[in-house]
Amino acid sequence: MSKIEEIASAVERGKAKLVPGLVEEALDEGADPVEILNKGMIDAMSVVGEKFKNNEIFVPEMLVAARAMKKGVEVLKPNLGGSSDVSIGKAVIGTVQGDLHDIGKNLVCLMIESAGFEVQDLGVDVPAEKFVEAAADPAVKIVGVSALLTTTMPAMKATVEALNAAPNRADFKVMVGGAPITQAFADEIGADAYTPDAATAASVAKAFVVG
Amino acid sequence: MKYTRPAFGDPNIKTFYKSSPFRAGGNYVPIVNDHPISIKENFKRAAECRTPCWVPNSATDFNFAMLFQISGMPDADWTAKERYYYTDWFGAEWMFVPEAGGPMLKPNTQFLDDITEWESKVKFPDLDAYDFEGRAKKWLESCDPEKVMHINIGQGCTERLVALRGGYTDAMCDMALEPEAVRDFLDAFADFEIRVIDKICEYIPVDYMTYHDDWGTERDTFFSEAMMESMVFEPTKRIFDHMHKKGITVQLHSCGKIERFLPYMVDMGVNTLQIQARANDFKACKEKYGNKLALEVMTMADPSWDKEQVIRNIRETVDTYGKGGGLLSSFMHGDPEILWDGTMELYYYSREKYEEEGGNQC
Repeated sequence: MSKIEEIASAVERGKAKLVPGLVEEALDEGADPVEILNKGMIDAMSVVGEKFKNNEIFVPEMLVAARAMKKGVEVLKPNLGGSSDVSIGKAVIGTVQGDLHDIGKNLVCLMIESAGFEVQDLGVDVPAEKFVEAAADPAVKIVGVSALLTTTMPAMKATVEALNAAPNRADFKVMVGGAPITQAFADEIGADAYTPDAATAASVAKAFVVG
Repeated sequence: MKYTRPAFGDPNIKTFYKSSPFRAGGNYVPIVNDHPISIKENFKRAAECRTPCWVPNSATDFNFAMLFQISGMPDADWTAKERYYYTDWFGAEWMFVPEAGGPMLKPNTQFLDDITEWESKVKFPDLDAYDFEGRAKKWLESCDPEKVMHINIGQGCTERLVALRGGYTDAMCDMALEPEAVRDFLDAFADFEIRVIDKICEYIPVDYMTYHDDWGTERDTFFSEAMMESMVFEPTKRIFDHMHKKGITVQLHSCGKIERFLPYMVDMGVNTLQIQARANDFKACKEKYGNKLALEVMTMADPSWDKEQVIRNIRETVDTYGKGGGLLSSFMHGDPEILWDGTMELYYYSREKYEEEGGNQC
């Protein structure tokens, strides 16, 4: 097994304590940092996402894998020559105003970051104006809007409407998700995509940006 | 139709005011007065998936209290109109969110930042510091002793872990990375829950207890079977076993799509399930586990429905889930006339159905 394959295996198994050391060893052996990131981590997280979608693993296993990758990226980052060189774009993600649920939003943040995005987590209970303000950054390619309550679906509608009215709307895609959200609701409020889970959100976001 | 439904306002039928600990206000519920067997015996039959005489209706057949009502532990004011913060009896911080209709963990707070340190940092509440006796006495004064004594003891194992770890994200990582520490904590929590049950039973003749532990997302369980087997199911079973020892019927409330865990629920001794109709296939649950697990199916009427739609919904619920027992239900409505008619229909229609089935000695 090559060092990069070892990293991929450790990421998939959520071995956060092992991954930084393996990344250092790979760098010491002269491995290309971009290859470590793409093959050792992002590809590994794609495997994790697929396993999650297929019910082979569950939320905790996906969470620890994403956290393991994060630890590896911390070691890798100084060797990548600036995150903008490797990031495929910026994503801003938050839970709408009136809704304090964060697990879905956190998972999406981790999976989208693991797919190669720079992520700005806006947190929970986020007013529409804050989404619009964050989306004004020209680097933003994805705006993720989460809601877990039927009672906060109107806040999601208001948020998406505010984003759709932004002057730079053509520069980013709006993705929505959360327990009560459906494709029909996403279509009705003018979102670009609805995804049922974090792994699918990451692959759809990536497809929007890199095709 | 064998039984004539008493008309709205029939002077021979008394009503009582039913309030809810979760909402301001309540409504006047009619008191059915021709039960062929005791309410408690009927409940027992239904909960044990034996044929009852009617479908138990929690609005008419139960005395209900939340743990905070009978302990005085800090909890949310469910009727609040504004957000506010409070600290629970373990020290976790909460925010009541009126838009959500309930409390949520206060964002960016974490009582316990490392699960492996739970033994030194978590202080289990001193139950003697709470006035269970006085509160139970006061609550019992409002109870009808003929009705089922139902107590909701609230947060279960994983919910308590989540509350102390500041949310699901860290709690789930703990379950994946620190299973021994999690298991040790949950074993200690089960011991605490058993003390709570004993304390309640000192003062209240409890028939029925609801235990809350949310195990699922909209699409599946949060956790794998293996993870639950190694950490959660055993301490949970110990709590349920203790309830059974006290003669208490056990209800498990669990949000999300949790069908994957149904066989384990049977093994743990769950009697009745309060799960989400939106996320789970109730018909399949009834078909597969109908003789082992009773289902609570709410006949919550859409506010826009007219009386005929309400009646139709109640009948469909009884027809679909009532066969052979194993159905518990509830009916509340803001319109006093619809509430009356729905209450009568649930009682008399289910009596007619069970008499048709036969063998229930009513």
